[in-house]
Amino acid sequence: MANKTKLITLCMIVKNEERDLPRCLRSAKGIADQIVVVDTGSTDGTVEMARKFGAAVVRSEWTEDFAGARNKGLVHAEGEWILFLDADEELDAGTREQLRTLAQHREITGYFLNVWNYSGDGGDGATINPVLRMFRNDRRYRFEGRIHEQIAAPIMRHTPQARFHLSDVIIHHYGYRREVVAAKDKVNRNRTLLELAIQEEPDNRFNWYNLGVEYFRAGEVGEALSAFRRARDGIDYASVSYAHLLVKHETSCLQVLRRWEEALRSAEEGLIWYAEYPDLQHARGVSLAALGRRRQAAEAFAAALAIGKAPALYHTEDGMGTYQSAYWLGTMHEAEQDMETAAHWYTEAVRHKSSLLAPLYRLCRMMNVSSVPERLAAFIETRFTLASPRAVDKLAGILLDCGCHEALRLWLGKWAERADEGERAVLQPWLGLAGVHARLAGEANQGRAAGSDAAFGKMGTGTDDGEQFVEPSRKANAASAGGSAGAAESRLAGWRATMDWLLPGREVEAEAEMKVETETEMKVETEIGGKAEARIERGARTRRDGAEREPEFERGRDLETGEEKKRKTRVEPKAERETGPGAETEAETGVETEAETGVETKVETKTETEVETTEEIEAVEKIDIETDVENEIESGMETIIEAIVMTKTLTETETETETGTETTERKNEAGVATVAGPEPQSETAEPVPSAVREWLPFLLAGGAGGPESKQRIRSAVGMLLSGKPSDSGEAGADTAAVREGVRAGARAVCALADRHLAAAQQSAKHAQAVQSIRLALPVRG
Amino acid sequence: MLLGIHILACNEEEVLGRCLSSVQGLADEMVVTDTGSIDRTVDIAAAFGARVVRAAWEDDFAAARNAGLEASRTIWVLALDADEWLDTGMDRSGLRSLLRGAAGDAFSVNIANRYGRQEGEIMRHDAVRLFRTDCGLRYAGLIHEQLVRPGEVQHAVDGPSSGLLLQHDGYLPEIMTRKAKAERNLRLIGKALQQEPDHPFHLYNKGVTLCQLNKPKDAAAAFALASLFAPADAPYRAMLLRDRAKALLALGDADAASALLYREVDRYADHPDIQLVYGDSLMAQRRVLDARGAYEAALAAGEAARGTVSEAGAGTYRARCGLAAAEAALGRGEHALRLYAAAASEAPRYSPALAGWAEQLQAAGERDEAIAAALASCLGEAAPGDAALLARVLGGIGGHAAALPFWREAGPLAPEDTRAYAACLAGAGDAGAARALLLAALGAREETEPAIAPMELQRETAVGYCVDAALYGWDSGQPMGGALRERLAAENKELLQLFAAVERYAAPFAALRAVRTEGMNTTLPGWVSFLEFLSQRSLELGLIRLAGRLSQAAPALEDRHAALLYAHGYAQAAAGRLLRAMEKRPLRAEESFAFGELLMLKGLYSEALGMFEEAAAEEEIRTRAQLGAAFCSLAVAREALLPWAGSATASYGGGWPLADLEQLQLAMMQTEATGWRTPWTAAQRRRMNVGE
Repeated sequence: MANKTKLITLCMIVKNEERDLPRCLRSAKGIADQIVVVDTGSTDGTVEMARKFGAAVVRSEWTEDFAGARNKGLVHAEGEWILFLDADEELDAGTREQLRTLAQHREITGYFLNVWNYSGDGGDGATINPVLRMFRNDRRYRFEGRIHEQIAAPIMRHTPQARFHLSDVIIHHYGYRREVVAAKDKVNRNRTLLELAIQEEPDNRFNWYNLGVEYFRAGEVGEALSAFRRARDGIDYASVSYAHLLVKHETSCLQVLRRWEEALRSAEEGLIWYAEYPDLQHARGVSLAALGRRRQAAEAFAAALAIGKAPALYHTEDGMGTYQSAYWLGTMHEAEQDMETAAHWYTEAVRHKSSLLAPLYRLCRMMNVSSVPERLAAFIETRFTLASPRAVDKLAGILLDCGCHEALRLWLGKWAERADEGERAVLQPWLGLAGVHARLAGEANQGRAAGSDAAFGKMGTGTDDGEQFVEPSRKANAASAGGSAGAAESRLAGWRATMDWLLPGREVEAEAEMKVETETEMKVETEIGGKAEARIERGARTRRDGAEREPEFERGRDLETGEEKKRKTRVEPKAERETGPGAETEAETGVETEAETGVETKVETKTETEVETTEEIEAVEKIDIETDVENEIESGMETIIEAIVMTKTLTETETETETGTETTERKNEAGVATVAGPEPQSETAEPVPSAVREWLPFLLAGGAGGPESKQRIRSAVGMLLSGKPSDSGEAGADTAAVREGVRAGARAVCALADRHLAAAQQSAKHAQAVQSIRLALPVRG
Repeated sequence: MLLGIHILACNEEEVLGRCLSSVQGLADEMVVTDTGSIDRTVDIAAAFGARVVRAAWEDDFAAARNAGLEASRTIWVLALDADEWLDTGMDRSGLRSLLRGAAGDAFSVNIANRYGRQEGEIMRHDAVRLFRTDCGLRYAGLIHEQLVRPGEVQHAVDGPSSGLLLQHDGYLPEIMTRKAKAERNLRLIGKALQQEPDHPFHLYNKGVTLCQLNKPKDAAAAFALASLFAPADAPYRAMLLRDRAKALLALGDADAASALLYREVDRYADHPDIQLVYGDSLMAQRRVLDARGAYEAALAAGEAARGTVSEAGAGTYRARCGLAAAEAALGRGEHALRLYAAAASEAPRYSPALAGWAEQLQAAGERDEAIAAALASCLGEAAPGDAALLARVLGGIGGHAAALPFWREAGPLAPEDTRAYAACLAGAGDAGAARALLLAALGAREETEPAIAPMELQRETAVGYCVDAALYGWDSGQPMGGALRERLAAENKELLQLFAAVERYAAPFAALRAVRTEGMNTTLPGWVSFLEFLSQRSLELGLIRLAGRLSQAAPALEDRHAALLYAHGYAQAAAGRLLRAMEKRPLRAEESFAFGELLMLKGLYSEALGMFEEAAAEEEIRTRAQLGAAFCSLAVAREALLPWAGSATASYGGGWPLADLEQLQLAMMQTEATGWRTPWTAAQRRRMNVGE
């Protein structure tokens, strides 16, 4: 330490980091005066790369000891300060200059830097973890610990009066995603090291803690729990810096194990010490919610929100005390049927993080289930500011998904009043779509018997109040001709494809009109005396028609594949989003929290498209069509699924049932118009285009069209639902396609259930109960 | 002198003796304040050595009580009502030393109010009744008088528990009615409210009194007003809430009741009453999952050791029964079974617990004899009325033969019990004996020995007996006979005419003779509806062949018979008829509904869905059919997803379809709990496979 002209020495240990090292070293340029790299046996160009950046390279054998390797580098450090980074880290360009200033403060012993851990490409959010990364160069300060080497403890031991400061400097840590790939290896390696360390020092709780983290990461939650408990046993909360994390991890383990009572106790014990730790309040809320104590859970989430973002030095997860807690608080109020309060908190969640989709879906779904469209429209009007057309697209799409077509019409109608010509052209297709949805839903509301197919053919052309909408299919063409392909247009294209599938002959006007007549007749017949008999006849007719129509379906499919191609270019959204709120819950309470294990962290936040729905007017346009959720259903999936032989044949059901009554001979008649009752000769069944699949929920729930359409829709759903996993269990493309079919079919029948429930909700006696069932349904949103 | 007993009385000759003897030897003096008795009240008081103070009745309870206090010669006073008595089972030796060493000037006692003769019909509350006379404490209030401290602002007196327990039976309905107490109270409250129109306590008591007079609507209004003025810390506020919610429930407004309580349940987390009635409100809304949570909260709150009025069992067996009912509605029979059993062991003679337990045991496949043995051992040492209780419960679940020994053992039977006894006889296959039993009770003797002594019956009950007796007779091949005709003629001539017509044409007693429809006088007023009534009652009593024969007498009736059969649990018999009907005509909505349920029993959900959608066309059954359709849709989705559950791996979005399946399961459970299915009793469920 003779030469004190150097201020900061960057110390690293590396092995085969050729790919990441340049990014790291580049970020330290102008910050570090000296770079010392300890190489533990690279076989690639790492060493050359380091030298290129002017680093002093120390070669060293790997002795299964991180602290030892680091200390080898420290020996060569000449700067007043040691800064240490890993190769997959990078100093933040906006804050790194501060290090130079901070290094002037000689009264400080060490600085905490904020490590932002990313799991994806950086767009998914991060967990933030303050870590001691820069400290005074003093030969007494040497790392300790074979793995998860620590420096704070040795510094404290030698300099009890040491002063630490929390800086604003940010380190981006990208490593985790790659580490996940290599996770198995690394976990094993880490585990071996830790077990070794524990043998040496059985009472070192930090080793136990880290072992718990490794177990948790490997999914061995029970083991992790005992390790954490061992680490926490007899701990002095006041003096151990990571004690709060121990409590949190122990709670997370218990939550994953669904030992909610214990999880609750664990969180509450922790809160005695860390009353200001929002993650623990949130975890307490989650446990209470799982125990069905929703009102108390609501209090916990509210407490988390009152704290807000975790105070510095707490390791926290993104959204704790902010958007996640707000979202959860909303769901609690929703479940207690306090819709207004729930709506408020969903909005708050979006305010905290404008890219969130889940609260918007919940909000729309809830409003649809509980309220009149005007109220939702007004709510959107007053609580959201939509800065860009794409934000409008986004919200409009969600509204339609949730069946809030009336609210969409009201809202867009108002919007259109103020809009200029160009904007109106963008809104127009959405209004058209709203009309389509309204008609579909109207079918179910008004008629017991289905309406006529004619209503379908002309669906987009007008509404009851006489307002003129552009005919959807033509509009879609116009839009694509104009080059502004948007979410609405692609939906309309899907609708058109669906229409082609459903009514193959509809372009021929005369034919269509003829059909209208026959359908009307059928309808009358059904209403007057029809019932069972009429249905049987219908079923037979459909069967015949189905055979005749083969060529037309082909054409419809062609169109569909074209559509498909367009979609395939889009990024496949994360599966996580699709598993619905339940699974998301799971992930949030368990897996995600799990990942944030102190030293090395990983967050699995959802892939969210940005929607500009903050209350601030300066909401930024960030939307990316490529990750548009609308396409979640089909993206990357095969368009056409194989025809599946019905497993539930009549003979089978006959043998299944012996008890009770002798209804078997009648069964097929009863089943003709039912969901899972496609014709037994299903080898002739044609595949369901994916655009149709997306519309199936609306078609099925709408009881759409004439008896023929209805039958066609029902057998399509029935066929999709009959898909079974292949015996081999291979996740091949075929299986994936069949599985997507089952998903689409299930979505459709759930929508049908929802429709029936919505009707039952009209009865005052059942209103509240049915409302809560509808809110709990696994439907979109 | 240390302690005096003060009793306010007016015409209390029936109960004063019980009161005075319960406190004998406890006090240094007994003072009875008489406000104008014209019976032997004063004599009885004198006989017990009590000093009688006469006070003019001026529609003012406080004034009358204070008149007694003025005459007091003791330092402490224990104030009682004539219809109260000191519980005998308690140690009273410590009372005098408690008073000698007391630092305060008042103690409270616990009062158990019996409001019905059944097990568990008791409300408990604490009240200050033991206090010093030398501290200026006096009563205030025309009615529901309260002890107050002297001063400009009257503060209600509170004090620690004395450990004394008083029994009170003045709220028993027959006593309330006989003494017209409710009417008197309402008048006094009206007077008090004239002076202080917004007084929340008076308003509250007005509501309580209106409830006693069975006027829930007016009561709810009074409670609402009281809630408006009652301060947040009023000691009676919890009671007010509970009673208001109960009144709303009685009005059928479960939405309002649960909305009211939703905001309060957390505040009164330690009041089992509040949690219990919240559970009941949620149950009435069919929010069964939420109700379960509320009942659990009630159990957690436990028996309120001290505090405001507490309904007996609110924190234990009542809540447990509520919880059990919720579990049963969710289709979780095992849980229901355990809970009912626990409730029955807490309160063995609380009949809802016994009945629920028996039903669940039966559903679990227990034999009737085993159920009878379990119930009997739960009751433990025999008490009067036990045999009838067991017989009722067993008969209620259709265990007719098992109930018979208990019916025979049970002492003199109440009118309703006799009818149930007869139903058990017929259910066990001896319709003739059932007929004889009823005839004997009617006093219409025939050649056979009377089974029981004739009873004094109200007109309606007697007609009911006649109907049942005729049906039992027909079923066992006997015409009505002279004695029954005479009795019927005495009760209702028109009815006899109708019965005679039925015998003439349908000859229900002669199984081989064809039903005659020619020449039948179908213009007889109410002919078809009478036949329907008989046919329905036959089915209720399990006389399926007779019901079928009766329905033949009117084509319209026969056409509807399948639905009737189904409604009474005869699923298989109904299915046969429905299938035949489908050959000839479209099914009616209720028939489609029944058919849908039958298909569901076989797991044919998608087929059932179609039937429910058909059934939804009819207004009457629409909501239930829609719920059924929703349930079937969900079941279809679940069936499609189930095969994939095995292959759910982390490789695909966190294990689809497990989360969806879980949600579906929950939604199905909740839909089921709305009670859309045909509600068959345990007795009716036994008939499922009975053929015609």
